[in-house]
Amino acid sequence: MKPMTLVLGAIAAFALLLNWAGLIVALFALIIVSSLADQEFSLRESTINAAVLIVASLLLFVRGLQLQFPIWPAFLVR
Amino acid sequence: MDLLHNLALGFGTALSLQNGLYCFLGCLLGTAIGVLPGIGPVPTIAMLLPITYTLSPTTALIMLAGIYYGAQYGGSTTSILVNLPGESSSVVTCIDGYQMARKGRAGAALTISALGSFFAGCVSTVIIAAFAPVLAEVAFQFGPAEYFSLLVVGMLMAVTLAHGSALKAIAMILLGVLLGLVGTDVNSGVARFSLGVPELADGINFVVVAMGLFAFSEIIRNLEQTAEKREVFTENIKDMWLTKAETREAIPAVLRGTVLGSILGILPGGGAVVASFAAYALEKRVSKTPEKFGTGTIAGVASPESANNAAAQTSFIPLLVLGLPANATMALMVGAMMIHNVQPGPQVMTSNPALFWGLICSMWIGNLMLLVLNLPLIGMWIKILRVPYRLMFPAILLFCAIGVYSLQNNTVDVLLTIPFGLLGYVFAKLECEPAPLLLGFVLGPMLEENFTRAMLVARGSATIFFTRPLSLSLLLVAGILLGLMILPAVRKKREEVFAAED
Repeated sequence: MKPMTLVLGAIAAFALLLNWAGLIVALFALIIVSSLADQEFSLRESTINAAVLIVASLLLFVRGLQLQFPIWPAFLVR
Repeated sequence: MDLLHNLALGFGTALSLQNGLYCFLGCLLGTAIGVLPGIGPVPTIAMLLPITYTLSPTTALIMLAGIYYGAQYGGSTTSILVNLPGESSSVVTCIDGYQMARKGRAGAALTISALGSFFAGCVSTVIIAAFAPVLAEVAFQFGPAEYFSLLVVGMLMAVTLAHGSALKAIAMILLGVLLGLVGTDVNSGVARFSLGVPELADGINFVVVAMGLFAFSEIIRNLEQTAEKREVFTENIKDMWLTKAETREAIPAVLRGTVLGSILGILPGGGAVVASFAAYALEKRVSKTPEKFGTGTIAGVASPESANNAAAQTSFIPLLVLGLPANATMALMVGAMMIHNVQPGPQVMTSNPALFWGLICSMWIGNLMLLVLNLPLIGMWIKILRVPYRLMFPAILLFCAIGVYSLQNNTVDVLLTIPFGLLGYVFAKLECEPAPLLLGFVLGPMLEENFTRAMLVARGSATIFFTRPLSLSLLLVAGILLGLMILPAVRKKREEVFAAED
């Protein structure tokens, strides 16, 4: 039950955070929450993993493929 | 001369810088996800579909096709070296492939998988090029009544060939058809099963369904298993060549696998997974030494590996000729074509010959690339196998989330994947294959559309399905299939073929 709740919870967190807090925060939540599902979870490793994956997605999806995302939190960019 | 002209056009298209590059990318990615256990071509293609939006339709299809047949190459590597199927179509390869590795013949097993796949890929590319245009001639005579009957046959065939219980497969297809009904009815404009949610009025996007059912449930199941330490054979693969005796045993096995795979690929519901199981069962039957199967015999690797690649490619025939997907991956390819405003069906060949022939020729080029990627560069894939899953699955989830969001820049779609993930997980626990559901989901709306059209043509008389000869014969085939399924002898046989897994 734990992996299921955390994996699907991570997706929900991403969906609920994206429009309000932006892509970076949403992805961070997605990666950390889903990583909790693994038995060998370590916060340090997951944070590094999150940082690498977020930078890679910004380069690949936002710069490279020009997909449209709110990147920064909506309450900051106003 | 027509064929030569078409092939020239095809190779011209496939060899353009952009298409060649994306073909390579597809093959590379296909091998990678094939090697990695826990992610297969269906979620990968679903994940990348929205991202191919910016490419031309030909380029997008070339890349997505490369992922599918590339995965057939990569899957065997993990089966042989780790005794874990990298891909569901390589499940049987574990049996003898891993035993060969334990005997120090991992190199030979890898070589015959790659060469067998390459041979099968070349043959099935020729089969597509030769038969697709002929079959398209027939397809042009199909009216809505014939399409309806053909879809019925296709669904029944998918049940016959589905893995596991036939009753469950029927239930899954029907559930898929029901889910496919969600959305606005084309004729009346009434929103069906939309529960008052405006986003559901457009129907459920099949990427959402595929992602939840395949990707999420797979990840959850992987995380539930406690990590077992498995022996990975990474040394001892210096000796890549086959001995004379192995060659003598492997060649007929490759030929049989190719033929069987090509046939099973064309059948609706067929595809790489069924083909590999059937090829292994056949090989065991014709072998003079069936007792050696399971102890590391090369025929047990050569035949299923050739068969799965042959089937992966010939399953494009019903898609390209009739616009009907034969399996879950092809259902996604229909989606890819729709995204790019290409209506799948026999008219693709005439209205968009560069796409049709370019895709076929790219398969041959892709197979050549895969041979290079998989044999000399095998060491690279072994390194990939060492990346721990706990770093990889968040990346897969990230790709899924971004992919679904960018379908329509809508977070509702992302939220919708959650119930499907839950459903996929429950199905896995109940041992229900989700593939027929996805097939039903895509075929259902086609079935309905053709039914309504046929009834309009016949002014409301259902006799149209029985009075047109082609439609009648198809329905008779459907009846025979249904009868066969109920016969106890056939049921036993079916279980035997799939029993090879255990």
